[in-house]
Amino acid sequence: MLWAIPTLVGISLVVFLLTSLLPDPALEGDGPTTEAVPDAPRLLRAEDARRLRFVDLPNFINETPDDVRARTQATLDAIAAGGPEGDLAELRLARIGGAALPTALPRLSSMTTEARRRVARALTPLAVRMAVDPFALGSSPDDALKFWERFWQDHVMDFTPGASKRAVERLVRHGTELRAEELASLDTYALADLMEAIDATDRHDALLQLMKIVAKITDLAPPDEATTPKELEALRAQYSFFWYVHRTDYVPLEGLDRVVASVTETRYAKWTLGAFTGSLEMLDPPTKSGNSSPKAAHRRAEGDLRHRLARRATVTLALIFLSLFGSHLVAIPLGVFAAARSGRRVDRLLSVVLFFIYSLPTFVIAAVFRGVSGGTVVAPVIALSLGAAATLSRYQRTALLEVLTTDYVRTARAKGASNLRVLLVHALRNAILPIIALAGVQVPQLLGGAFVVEEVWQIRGLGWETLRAIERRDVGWLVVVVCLTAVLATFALVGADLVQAALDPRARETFRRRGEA
Amino acid sequence: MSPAKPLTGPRGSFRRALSILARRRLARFGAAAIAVLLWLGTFADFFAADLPIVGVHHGETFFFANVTEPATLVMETEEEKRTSYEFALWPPVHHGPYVETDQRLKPPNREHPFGTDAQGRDVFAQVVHGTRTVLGLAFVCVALLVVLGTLAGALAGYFGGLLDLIVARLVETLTAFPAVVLVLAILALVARPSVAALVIALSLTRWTEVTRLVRAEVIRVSTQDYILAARALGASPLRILARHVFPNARAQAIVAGTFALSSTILVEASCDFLGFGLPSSAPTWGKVMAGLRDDGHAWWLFAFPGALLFVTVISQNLLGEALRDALDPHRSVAGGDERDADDAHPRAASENASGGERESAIFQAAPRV
Repeated sequence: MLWAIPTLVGISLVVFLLTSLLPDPALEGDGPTTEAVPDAPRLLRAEDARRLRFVDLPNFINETPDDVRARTQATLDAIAAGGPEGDLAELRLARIGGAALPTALPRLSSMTTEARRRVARALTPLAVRMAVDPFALGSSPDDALKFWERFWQDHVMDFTPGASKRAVERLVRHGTELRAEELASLDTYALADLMEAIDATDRHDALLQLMKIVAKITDLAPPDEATTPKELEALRAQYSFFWYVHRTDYVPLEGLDRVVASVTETRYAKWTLGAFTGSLEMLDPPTKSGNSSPKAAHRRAEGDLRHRLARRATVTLALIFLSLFGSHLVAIPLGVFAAARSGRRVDRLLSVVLFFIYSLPTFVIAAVFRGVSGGTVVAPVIALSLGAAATLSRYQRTALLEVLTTDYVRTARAKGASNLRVLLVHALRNAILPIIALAGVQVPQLLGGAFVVEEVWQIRGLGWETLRAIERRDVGWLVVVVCLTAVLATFALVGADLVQAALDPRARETFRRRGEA
Repeated sequence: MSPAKPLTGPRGSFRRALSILARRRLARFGAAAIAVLLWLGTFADFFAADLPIVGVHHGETFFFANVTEPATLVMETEEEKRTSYEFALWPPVHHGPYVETDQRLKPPNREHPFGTDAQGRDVFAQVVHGTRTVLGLAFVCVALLVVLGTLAGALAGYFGGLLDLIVARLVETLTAFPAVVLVLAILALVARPSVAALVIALSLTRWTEVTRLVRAEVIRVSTQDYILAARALGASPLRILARHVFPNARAQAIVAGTFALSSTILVEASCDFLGFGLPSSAPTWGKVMAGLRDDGHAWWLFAFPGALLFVTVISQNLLGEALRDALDPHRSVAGGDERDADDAHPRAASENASGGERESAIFQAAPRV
């Protein structure tokens, strides 16, 4: 059982390496660029697209994981350097918002006048979010600078982890407008605590209020009063995906956090964790500018990976297990019959027919069946089982023939057991074991066949959905399906081993010896 | 039954194997069918082309105009094409696989013996030229995967340890993994789908069979005394592998390669049928068959390439099973008997019945697709 774990890690590595073959979204862009130097908002969008796929992170080890301090520092340096990079840095600084203030404001005094003005300009959207009196902010950049200096003197005590945590706690407990305003002046500095509270709270009104605040200080779409609890839940999943991607924009990494981040802030870690928690589905979370209404968010969540996976996988698994059951039901009697008539004309004819069916690919069988029978319910199952049945009955026949030559069967015959009794009671008991082991191998093969069958009959299962995912290059879905297939294949093999061990003492012995070796 | 010729060559050698093969009717049939298909694919332009094999046009003689594609022979209309030659030796079908006509979805007739598809292209031409694409692709893939699989199997089996562990796990997982799913996923994830990507994807899904068989054989051989003797004489590991171990595993590689041929063709055809196969304009059987998904009544789109696919797979499976028996020096060969297709498995089943080595018994034949 334990060997399944290295296998799964191996599979996740392979899939990850496949995903690294994906085109860099920044290079794809949104259509051909006309201007020679792309403008700052466009660059920011490209950067966002890259970050959503974690292309900006190193593959396996992140020696210097960026946190809010490093990022703020970088934007300030870029603003000081000026040029088009400076424009982009201004947008970045505005987005980091309040979380940047503890790093940015003390450094203002050491910058050139021009750079300070640009920083003040970049912070204007932040001031608007904080609902600062426009009069206090003044009209010129120099007035704004003075305001920020005063602001920092007044509020330096608020910008501590403890203060923001307490503020969020008070808000959750009392939920008044006043508390909300208190938080507004902290802006994104309180985001980590807000997100934590969103994760922890289950009260509808508190959730609504918290998410509104988060939406105000980030680019996320806000919920409104009409949002139902179910829609809110979907929106919450999207918020936590945003946090999954952007946490280090707002949180300083210190001590142990930094060590952990050097592993978790990598593409591989983000991909695998994301794939297994199902959050990769939201590769394109709704923003205010784009697709933003809570209704749309709800629709997206309906199509949320786990929902879709559960719905599609049910169909496919039903198809597979019906076929597995059906093919055994046909194959075992057929194999027994062929073995009983071994060497006679009917056996030879059956052999040829089975070999032919065995050699027919599933898609040919499916297409022919589709043409002949149309859209009946059993047709897909039969089409899928036919090949498996042919394989199984060939094995059943040979396995039974093999057992029929053993001494204990001869003993049974000598003791006067009838032919039928020898075949069904004595021989089949042993000959059926390898066929059960084969079931484990059949499951992944049937899964491959199900892809074809679902496409031919347009059954909305995993295969159908995966082909649609390929058409729209939905990487999240593909990664999850490949992982799921690997898991299914692995567990089918392990399951077959366990069943065999339960039924066959000799196999149990072998497994034990292998385990000791 | 003709009197059996005596077997030639030492046990397990290729000459011996060939003489065993020659005795089996089914193997002979398989080999002949593959030869015919190769011939059909290689000389596809002699069977269906939109330009004559030999043509005299305005006093100028062209040979194999379809291959050399001279610009002066580009004609506007069908009528013009037919009348403008002073002398022309045409292939049986006057249509190339790429030429679109207004004869859309016509059932088989004299002009188009296999009918036409939804774009008015001749199905016969596509099937014949598709043979070339399909077999060429399969042979390239198999060449690649046999080299890859043999290397991995030989190294893992001989050196053992961590390398062996990794290879064994990888083989186990990939064998259990549905090939179509993996190929589709790889094709979907690469930046720009290309023929090279398809070849690599197909090879990646199918090398495990070669590795598994070669590895098992290498492990078996490596413990024998003559290897120990070679080591005692100071032979380097690579020399031992190449000179003493590998020749034993060669047979396994060839057998697995034959099965891989048919399964590669099947996986490729399945992907083509689903609409995500070969990313080029070259015709393949699967692409023609995919036409059935849009036009359910057009049986001719499916029947002819399907029959060819079926014959290909059957003959390769027959040849593979016969090769496996013939190349196995431990298997006694009862002189001249003709076994039916199913008798190829008793050893597999016996290993199976003993309960232990499950995996070696199960994948004796090509996995179904």
